[in-house]
Amino acid sequence: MSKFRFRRVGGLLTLAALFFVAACEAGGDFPQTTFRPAAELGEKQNAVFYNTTAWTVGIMLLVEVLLLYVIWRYREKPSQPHPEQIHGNTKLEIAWTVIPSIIVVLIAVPTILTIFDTQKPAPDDALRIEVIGHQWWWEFRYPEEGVVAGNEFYVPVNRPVELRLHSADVVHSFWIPKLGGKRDVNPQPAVTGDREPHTNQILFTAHEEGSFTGQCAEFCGESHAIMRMIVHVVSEAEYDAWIEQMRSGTTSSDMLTQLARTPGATAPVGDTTGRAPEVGDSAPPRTQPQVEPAASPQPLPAPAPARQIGAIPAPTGMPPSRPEVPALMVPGAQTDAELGREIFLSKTCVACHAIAGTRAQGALGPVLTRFGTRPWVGAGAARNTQANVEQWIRDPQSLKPGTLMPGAHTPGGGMPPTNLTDEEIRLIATYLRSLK
Amino acid sequence: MATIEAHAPAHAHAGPARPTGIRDWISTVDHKKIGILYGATALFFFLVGGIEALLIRIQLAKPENAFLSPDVYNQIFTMHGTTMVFLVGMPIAVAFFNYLVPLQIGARDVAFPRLNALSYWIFLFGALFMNASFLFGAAPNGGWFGYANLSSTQYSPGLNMDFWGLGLQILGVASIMGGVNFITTIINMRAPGMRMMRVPLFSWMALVTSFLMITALPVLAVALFLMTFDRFWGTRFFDVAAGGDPVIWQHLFWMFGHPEVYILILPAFGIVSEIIPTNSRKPLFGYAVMVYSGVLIGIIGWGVWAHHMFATGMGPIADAFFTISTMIIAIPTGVKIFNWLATMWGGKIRFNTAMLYAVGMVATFTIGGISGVMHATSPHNLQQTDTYFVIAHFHYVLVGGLVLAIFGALYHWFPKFTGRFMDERLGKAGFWIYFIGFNMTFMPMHWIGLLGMPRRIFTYGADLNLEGLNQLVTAGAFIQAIGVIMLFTNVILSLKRGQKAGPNPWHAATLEWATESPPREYNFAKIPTVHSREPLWVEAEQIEKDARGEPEPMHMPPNSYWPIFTAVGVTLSCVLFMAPSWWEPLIGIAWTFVGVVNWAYEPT
Repeated sequence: MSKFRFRRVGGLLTLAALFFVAACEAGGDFPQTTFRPAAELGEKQNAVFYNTTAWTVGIMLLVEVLLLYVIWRYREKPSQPHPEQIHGNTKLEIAWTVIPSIIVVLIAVPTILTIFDTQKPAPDDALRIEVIGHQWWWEFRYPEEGVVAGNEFYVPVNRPVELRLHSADVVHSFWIPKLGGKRDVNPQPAVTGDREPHTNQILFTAHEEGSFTGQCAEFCGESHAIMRMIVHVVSEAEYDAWIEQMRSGTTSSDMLTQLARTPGATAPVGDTTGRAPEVGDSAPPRTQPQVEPAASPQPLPAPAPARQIGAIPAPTGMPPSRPEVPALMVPGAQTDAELGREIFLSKTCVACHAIAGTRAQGALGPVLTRFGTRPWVGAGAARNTQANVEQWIRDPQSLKPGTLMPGAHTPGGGMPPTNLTDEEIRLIATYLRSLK
Repeated sequence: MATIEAHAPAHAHAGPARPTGIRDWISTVDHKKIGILYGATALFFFLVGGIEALLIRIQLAKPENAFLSPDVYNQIFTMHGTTMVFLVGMPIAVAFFNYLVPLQIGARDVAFPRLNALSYWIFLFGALFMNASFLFGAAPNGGWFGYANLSSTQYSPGLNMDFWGLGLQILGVASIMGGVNFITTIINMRAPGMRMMRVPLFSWMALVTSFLMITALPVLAVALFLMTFDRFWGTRFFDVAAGGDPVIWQHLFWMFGHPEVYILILPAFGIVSEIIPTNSRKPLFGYAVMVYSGVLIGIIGWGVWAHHMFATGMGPIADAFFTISTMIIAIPTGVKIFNWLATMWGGKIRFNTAMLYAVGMVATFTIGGISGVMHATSPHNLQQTDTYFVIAHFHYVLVGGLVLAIFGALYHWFPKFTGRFMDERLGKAGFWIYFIGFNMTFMPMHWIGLLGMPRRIFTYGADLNLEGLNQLVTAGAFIQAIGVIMLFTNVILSLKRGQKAGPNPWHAATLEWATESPPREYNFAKIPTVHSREPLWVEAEQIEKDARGEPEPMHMPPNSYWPIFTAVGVTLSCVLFMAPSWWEPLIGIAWTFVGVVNWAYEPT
């Protein structure tokens, strides 16, 4: 009996060890692994974790081996006399109090050093990004650059980045495992002065280029599971190009003219299989930044207000905050994307969404500038395919229950149904997917 | 009255005869019957919580699964946590306290028998109320931690969180009363000669747990008041727009929530500290240190709550403080583990099913303790928290710790409860199936978490590449379910068909084994006088004679219907806050008042 038991327990331990090895070896295949950080923040956190793990797993193995030895060695044997009645041993008990205490010190000291090391104030040259959590999407504001992005953001490699986190509604938690540990995204109590009592900071310097996914980690309501995001760590030049595009929008008149001249340009680009490009493939297009005087930082739209059920923002009450860049109508033959753009701008879409370079300046929903480059629609609700985007516009509740986005026939977030026809939906989806 | 007519009619009070059947069960004040009621109710909810767990695991067996809608999933995981903590973990421990503490300390009942019955009925009605939410399709859906401000009417407009807030308020009342009762019992009602340092370790842990109950649950009550005031009367404690602060909720909740963890685990420590010495045929090694470490855990347990909140953002100084306090608590916990090992060392270990569970508990609880120290490493806690790594950790503590201990306790004390053994062959097979299923479920979760899967998500992207591990976990959950079914089958079969057991089938040392199996209503014919920590190993002859001999003249309290009556009133007082008019809760308050007055004037 006892030998049988011994094998089972041993087998379990072996299985556990195999898991560990398998997990570490195959780390590259897990896009949200914490084992392979792409930033020094995650590396510092892992270093102190491995120190703790080495000590504690050592103790654990000692205890488990001792336990197995004891139950095997002292199992009942037929001729065994009644055991000696020992009530304790002071020296032994002092020993197994003092030795663990010393180990606790060996674990605690590096831990505390790392706590203070990773929570230092940001250096002056850090790129500051405001991260705002919404039910259930992410807003990224670059105050110094005058750029707002939704659900995806870009940072330059090897430059310190300071994320300042707060929430527009409930408590969320910002977590991109490859960068480092998460921090809660708290709503801000109304206090006087410039104190921000629960605004959290994450300071990291990414040293590896790539696109890394993350998601909300604090339960925040019905579709908490569909609150994903992507960080693109890119070279300084690519980052500058991205900022430029986000300021000006991609549907400049140049681009539109180009589109008009290219037949079939509205077909899903590089997407005939119906699959969105993999996250790792979504590196930014290497377009040259448009150096124009008009590209000076734009004033940011007002911060998105907290979710208000019943409040219907009037679309007409939101005048464009700057002169409309290119004319709404492009004379002559119109592509699907151009038609979609006209519909988008003339419907209630603009009440909530902003697209740089157009008069769409809504601030209640995610910014849609360069939507065509994103792998997902609805912050991870579905892949960004023509069919899914159409489905999203038609009936977003079917992909993401609880979302505030109204559908063609369903109200949402205090907005009435959009009453878009299937053809209009197709054209809008085509337009949005052309925003690259 | 309850005097023992057959033996001592001269001392019988004039009072109603003890009712029989169902009427006896609803009016009983006998700690043993109340213990059985608590136990049966908790085991029933263990099945409910287990089914909820299986639904969760079916949903997560593959990415982007549509088995449950997000709202239903959120209700299920909220109710799984709430059920397992408040309707299983605490009451199952209280069940064993009820049955065993008076027997272990040589008393005839608890200090306040009717209060004990009241605790049970309030607990039962609170539990039924909470689960009645399923009938409205509005089970609580904000997580067992109910974080503000998601729990506000603005973000949770339905009845769901009303059920949660009011239900927990009701359950808290029951636990606080239970705590008062056990503290009084253990301090005041010990048999002659049973000094505090002779009290069996299980009863000691019951005492520490009871102190935690009467101190921690009021904190939860305060938090729930703030929340329900916000929801029902428009106060704005957690509304940032009005200068409120949701982080206050987190502090209050975890200030309750961490002592709660020790409320759940200390009884398990007590159980294992009884089973291991009995089956090793050796006294508990380092009894005094085991007592002190339990007390110390209870005290330090009050200073670690914010380790649940490292990601909330408290600043490095608070992070450092709670890191250190949390790591310190590992030391008394480790001492307990080493003392259990030393108790077995040099023993003559009998591997019955109870001992298998106890040893299994030591093995798995150690793993949970170790991952607890990993959590305390607060810089990396930011990677771990709110992921499956945390789920793995606390299931190793609460299932590997508490549930394994409870199953062991069931096998160990079943002969005392019923006079019959549970089937050992079925028991051992069930242990191995459960133990393997348990590890298969929760061991992979460590990696699932560190590979990037957060908690409380109804779906996960296929791109996370975690389907294989999640399927392993789901398979493990179903293997555990088989083990549980085997255990329940064993209980039901053994009630009727189990082999007869005498008063002390395991040759254990503590007083409960001096009584008959099952004990008579008055427990001890004559209250024994004890002179040692292991009375039945040292002075069995005299004590067994006292316990099982001719009963001395005594008075036992009569049955009472006022506890269940009053419990209805207390429950209604809370429940009717969900009614449309302001005056409806007054019905419950008036009802309670009637119950209390009649209670006060009832002759006992």
